[in-house]
Amino acid sequence: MKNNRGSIARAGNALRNVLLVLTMFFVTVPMLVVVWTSIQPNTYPKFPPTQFSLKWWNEALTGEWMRPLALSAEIAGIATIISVILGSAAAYALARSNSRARTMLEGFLTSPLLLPEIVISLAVLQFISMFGGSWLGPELLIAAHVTIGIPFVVRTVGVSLVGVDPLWERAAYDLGASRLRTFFTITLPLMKSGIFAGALFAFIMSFNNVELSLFLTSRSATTLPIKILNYMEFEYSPSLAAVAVTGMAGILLIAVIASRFTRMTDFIGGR
Amino acid sequence: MRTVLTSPTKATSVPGRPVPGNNKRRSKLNLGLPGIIWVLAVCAIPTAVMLGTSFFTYEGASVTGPVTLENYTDLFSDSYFRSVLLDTVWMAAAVGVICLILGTLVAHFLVRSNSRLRGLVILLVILPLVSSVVVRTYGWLVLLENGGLINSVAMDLGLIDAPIAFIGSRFAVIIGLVHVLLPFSVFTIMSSLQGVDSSLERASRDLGAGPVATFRRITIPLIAPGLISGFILTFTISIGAYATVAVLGGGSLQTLAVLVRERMVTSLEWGQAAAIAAIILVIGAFVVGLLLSFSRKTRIPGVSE
Repeated sequence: MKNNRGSIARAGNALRNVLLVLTMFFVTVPMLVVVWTSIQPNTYPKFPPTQFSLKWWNEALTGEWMRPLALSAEIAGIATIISVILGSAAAYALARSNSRARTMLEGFLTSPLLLPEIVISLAVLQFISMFGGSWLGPELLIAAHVTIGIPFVVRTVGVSLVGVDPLWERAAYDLGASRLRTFFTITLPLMKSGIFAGALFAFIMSFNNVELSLFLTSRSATTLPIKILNYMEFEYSPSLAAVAVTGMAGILLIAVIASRFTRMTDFIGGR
Repeated sequence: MRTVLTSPTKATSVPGRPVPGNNKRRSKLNLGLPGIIWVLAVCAIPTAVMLGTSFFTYEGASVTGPVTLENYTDLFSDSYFRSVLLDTVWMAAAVGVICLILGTLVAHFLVRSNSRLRGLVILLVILPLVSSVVVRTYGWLVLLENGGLINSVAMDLGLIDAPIAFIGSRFAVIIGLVHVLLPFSVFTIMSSLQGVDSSLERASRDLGAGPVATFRRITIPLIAPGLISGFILTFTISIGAYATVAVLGGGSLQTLAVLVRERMVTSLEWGQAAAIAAIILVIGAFVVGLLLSFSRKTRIPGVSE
């Protein structure tokens, strides 16, 4: 009887491990396939992988793709800076106030994450058109991306401020530092980790964004993900794989740089 | 795409002593104003206005009265719309359930095991989060197309005679969405599982329950709030997901989000687009309300208590 149960448990464990490995394959394979597609010569990669070619990269690294790539990086960069400034200020205000309005305001500031982005995108386009504007362009994309950047920064900076005792600020102030100096020597360094994490999230959300940008791009202002998507919907070309890998590499590079300043896992999951 | 983030809790303060900020509470709250105004102007007000104008008649971009349900009645009298609505809801539900199963599997491993591979698994789970939805979707396209990797390998092996048309099928869309959303359910369930004392599970085992019974009768009830918020998160994101469905649906399989774009950009029916957007919001709110009434204890990531 006992033996029997032991072997059932072992079989269960084995089954669990097999499922786990399969799930990890499921998560990883599509992305590996994109990298593989970009460095082989056929329209579809052939198994087993024996051929190597950079011809899709030659096609990809042209002005047609570099312009949207640069635009995406520019929009994400500016949106991140604005999100960090507005979000950090709001998070600081929330952490230093005991008012009942605080809970409500935090809920409001993070509410854009609860709305489907495609709904926000449509609402913004219709709102602007209602006032006779045909104001599509990078500025509008930045404005929209900031609304989902702010919630991330409010969250991460809020988390990093939890451990900050307001008495430290008071101590600096009592010892003669000005409010400004107190902020720059005490408060800001303590918020740093949250700011970097929030900035990274905001940048990734903006740089990769499809749904929020969907109705707000124009012919003169098309971001990289939207341009790749437009191509994918109508035709299939492996040079897209090379373009996509370029974008992915850029994000990974930024993530690696940011992770030198902050521990991302502090801000994911566990509450 | 959204990420599950931890919520800041109250900063500690020593009672009875003046603290910077307390005496100047109003000026500190002012620091939050620019952010609040931004969210109002570029998200809250436009969305509220659109919900309102969906009950009016659109003439191009402008709206004229009187109040009418026409946008909605037009939609619901269209059998194609009704089938898209059903497709959207049941595919989102399927995605939510599959994400729960796989998410629990991965989260349980990450929290309860002390394997050396945990770091690698976390990395692999986070990877889809930082890579673009476009990259992931492209990967599935290469795998699932008629001339794609899976079909060509299966034909070489003689398993099938003709390629299976995955693209455009519900299967492809569900697979693609599960791939995008799995990290969300993993992190939600993980944080819930971290709050469960593992000695409860050990006690159950010591008292003679098998691993399956322990999991079903001890672990699952304890992490139910996490499971519910995981489902809510993946379900609501699925309903609004555009890119994955547009590409893997191959243009023939539509969901509400894809239909919004078609009505807005192709057939220029702005009123119907607004009405569909409102319906997406209502379905999301309805499911959140329904599941929350099952479990009062549940907290949705993204909403502070």
